[in-house]
Amino acid sequence: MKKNSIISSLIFIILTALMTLLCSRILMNKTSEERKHEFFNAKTDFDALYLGASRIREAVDPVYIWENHGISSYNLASAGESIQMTYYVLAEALERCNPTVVFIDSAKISEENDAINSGYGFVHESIDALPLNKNKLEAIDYAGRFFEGGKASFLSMIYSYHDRYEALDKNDFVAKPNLDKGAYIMTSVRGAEKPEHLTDASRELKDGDGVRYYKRILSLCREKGVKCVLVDIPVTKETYNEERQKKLNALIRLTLDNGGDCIPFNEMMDELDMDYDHCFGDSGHLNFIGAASVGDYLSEYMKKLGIPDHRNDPAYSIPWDEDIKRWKERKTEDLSDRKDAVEYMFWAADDDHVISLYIKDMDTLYSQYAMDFCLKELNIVPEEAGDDTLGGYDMKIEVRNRDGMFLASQYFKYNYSSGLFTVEQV
Amino acid sequence: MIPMTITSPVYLLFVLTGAFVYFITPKKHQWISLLIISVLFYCMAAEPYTIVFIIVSTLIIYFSAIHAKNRSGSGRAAFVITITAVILNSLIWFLFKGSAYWVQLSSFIHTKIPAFPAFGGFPLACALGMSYYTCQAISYTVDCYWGTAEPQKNFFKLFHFLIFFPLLTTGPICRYTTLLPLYEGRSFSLEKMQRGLQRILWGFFKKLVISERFAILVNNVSGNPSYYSGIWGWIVLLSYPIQLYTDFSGSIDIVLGTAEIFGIELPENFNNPFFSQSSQEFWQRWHMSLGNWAKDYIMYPVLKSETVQSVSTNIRKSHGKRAGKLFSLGAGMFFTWLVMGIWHGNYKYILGCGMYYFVIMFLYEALGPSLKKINEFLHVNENSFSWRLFRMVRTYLILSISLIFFLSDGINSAFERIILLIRAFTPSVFNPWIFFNGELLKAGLSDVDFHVIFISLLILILAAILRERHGYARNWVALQGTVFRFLIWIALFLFVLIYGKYGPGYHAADFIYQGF
Repeated sequence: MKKNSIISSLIFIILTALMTLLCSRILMNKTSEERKHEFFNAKTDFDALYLGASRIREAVDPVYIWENHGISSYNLASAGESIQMTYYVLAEALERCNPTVVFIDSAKISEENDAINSGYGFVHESIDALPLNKNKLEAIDYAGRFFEGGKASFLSMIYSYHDRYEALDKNDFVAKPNLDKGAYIMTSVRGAEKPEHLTDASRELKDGDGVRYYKRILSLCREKGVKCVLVDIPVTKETYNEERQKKLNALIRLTLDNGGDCIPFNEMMDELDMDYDHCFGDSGHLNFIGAASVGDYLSEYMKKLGIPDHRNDPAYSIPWDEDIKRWKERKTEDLSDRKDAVEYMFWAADDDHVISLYIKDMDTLYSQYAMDFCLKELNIVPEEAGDDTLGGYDMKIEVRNRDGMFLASQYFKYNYSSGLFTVEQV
Repeated sequence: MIPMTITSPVYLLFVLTGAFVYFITPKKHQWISLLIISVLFYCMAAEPYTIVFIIVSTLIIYFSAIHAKNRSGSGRAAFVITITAVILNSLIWFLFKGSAYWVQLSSFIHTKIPAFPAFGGFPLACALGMSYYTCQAISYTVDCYWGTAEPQKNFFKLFHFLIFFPLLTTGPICRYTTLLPLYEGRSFSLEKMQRGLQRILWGFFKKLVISERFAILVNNVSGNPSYYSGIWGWIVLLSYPIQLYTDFSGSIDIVLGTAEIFGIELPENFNNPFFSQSSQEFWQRWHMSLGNWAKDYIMYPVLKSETVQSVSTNIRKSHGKRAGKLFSLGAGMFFTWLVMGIWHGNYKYILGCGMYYFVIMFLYEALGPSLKKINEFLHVNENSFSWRLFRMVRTYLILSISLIFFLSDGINSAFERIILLIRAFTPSVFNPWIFFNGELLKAGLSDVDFHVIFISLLILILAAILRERHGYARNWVALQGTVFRFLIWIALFLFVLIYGKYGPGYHAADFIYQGF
């Protein structure tokens, strides 16, 4: 065998491997990485972590908690995440920071045996960003059993994501990590119905995979000296049922028996002055108003655990304030992603911003109570305008800073059936 | 059980591990390690117990060849032993792979005579590669009888001939003498390893990038004829040959590449079939191993048989030399195409593949001289590009019509499809606007998929042209500078990696010819 052939083959293999890695990097879904990037590159320790599925991800805003209470925390929850994956994310997180408390979402603790209780994409969203170590390999070993592609589909990004070529956009080539400390706070306002009756009854828990993993979480927290708090984020009438409440009551008992604590927000709506007309962003998730109430309560709870206000501690305040400044700039950049006028205005709302609203037909403006609420909350006085300003659309919203510098604007069309103003082509 | 299809990463790992074990084994015992690898493959790719069929086939041909050889002085006894072995092997095939024949027949009789039982048949997947190794078993028995091959005295070596793992999925059908290198020891060759991997990559390209995309289009459209009417039928008609070719020849590339990694060269099964200017030429370029097998073991024996010879002589005397020649050729062709049709395992293939091509080829033989005279009268320049292109298109269309029977559930539904194709041009269903208004994108393929298909077909045509001129396209690539070579192979690798239809959530269609 010629020496040259071997060298040339080796070079070929290395080049092919490098190109494959590059393609893999470009093609992979970045959601998980973008959401957890700030955590894995944190400049401060975190006093608290929030873990679980979308309900807690959209209900707890670490930025709000820092700004108002000076507590350093991170939201590691991700959409559709089962408690099994939450366990592995928590195990990895506790090797990287030393929180006093972790808040666990009660939503996805299943009692089924041999079932992951999560979709394929959701599992990717939970674990893709974890570094390839024992925790991730164990997570893959568990999750791989439930999906057709097996373990390979969680180990090899190119195997899973090679056909994402039609979904590639700028963010796949230029990294754009999230700056919201893992949370996803909705600024839409949708009225929701209150569940009629919350039962106090409980029942025996079945020892399915989810319950077993929750017990592992309780045990891991005990071992690490971290307070584990089970959180039941408010649900609406649509998503509430009695069986769910009985299971939750059983989980609360299990948590208390194992040295943990529980916060049943669903039962505390009146106490926290949270109303169903304004606190939900959709039929199943809280919006920024609900998240503020939850954030205030959790902050008071954490203060009772002895977590201090770090706002006067430069080790925390400098990096946090820098991050929040960048986050506010990003929020302005991301305004164009808001497709609903109310959502747009609440997203743009900031002490430094002045929002102007131009409307073709003033009668259409108040057909939806959320718009009325939004205008009052933000003290916006709508101005009637013609086609010269609106160019064929029904509404224009303009955002400027206090110095009058233009920042962003968006046109909306009025939808007569829903009464909403949404972004649509003319 | 680990899923083992030849386009899975598990297969690649299996082949590379197998090659490592093979080349570290002392040369004298390499065939044993390859035999073990083949048995392992069989157990991982099929129901392990069905290996008993190959063992039984091996036992039949092992003893028949040795006994026929021992009785070679007594021609009659050797003949009876050989024929018995051929019939027994065929019967096993008929019982399992050919079960559609007796299942459909019994069902038909059952409808007429309810007392007659309707049989259920065996699952087709239960006997991997049976249609291929049965042909090999028959060819070995007959070759030993004819004396063109020496009977193998080692049972396990003969077993190895039938179970050599790359051949089990889609062939090619090999003669015993072609596979003698199986028993030889050899050293590792980096060049053969590279060439083998290149060939496998090319097979992946054909199967995963091209065939799987056409499969989406063809399956969606042909599975819902009431929705996809009019021109859609023609789109399927013209797409399916490409799907079948890239599927079958892609699998053959993987098979040949695998064998090449082990240092064994297998015969080609395809040679740019769409460049064929006639159906005769097409069958010399398409599924060549089956064509050669049928020619050697059906056509020639029929032509040489006493009955055909004597009838041919009589016809020659009464109706002239040409008529006698046509008769013997017709008889040979009839039985050849009949067996080719039967081999595919269903009545519909006997008609759609066998008899259809028999009629076309026989008519071509019979009318050939007259057609030539017409061309001369019309001053057709038979060397012009346009004429050659016309003949290629004609050959393609003839194949497309034959393949309607592959796509259809049965003979009746095939004819229904043909009627729909003819009616596609009636004003009520004629819908050529689907090419312009975006409806083409409603059959499961996106615009990017169509772009990928277009680029891939250009690459395929370029490779075919290079093959005509350089033997293999990769021979031409090998002549290029290192950087350009690297670029070509890395680009192809990444193209397959990204645009291949595989991975979680995607169910690759089985290799069409793996069912045989």
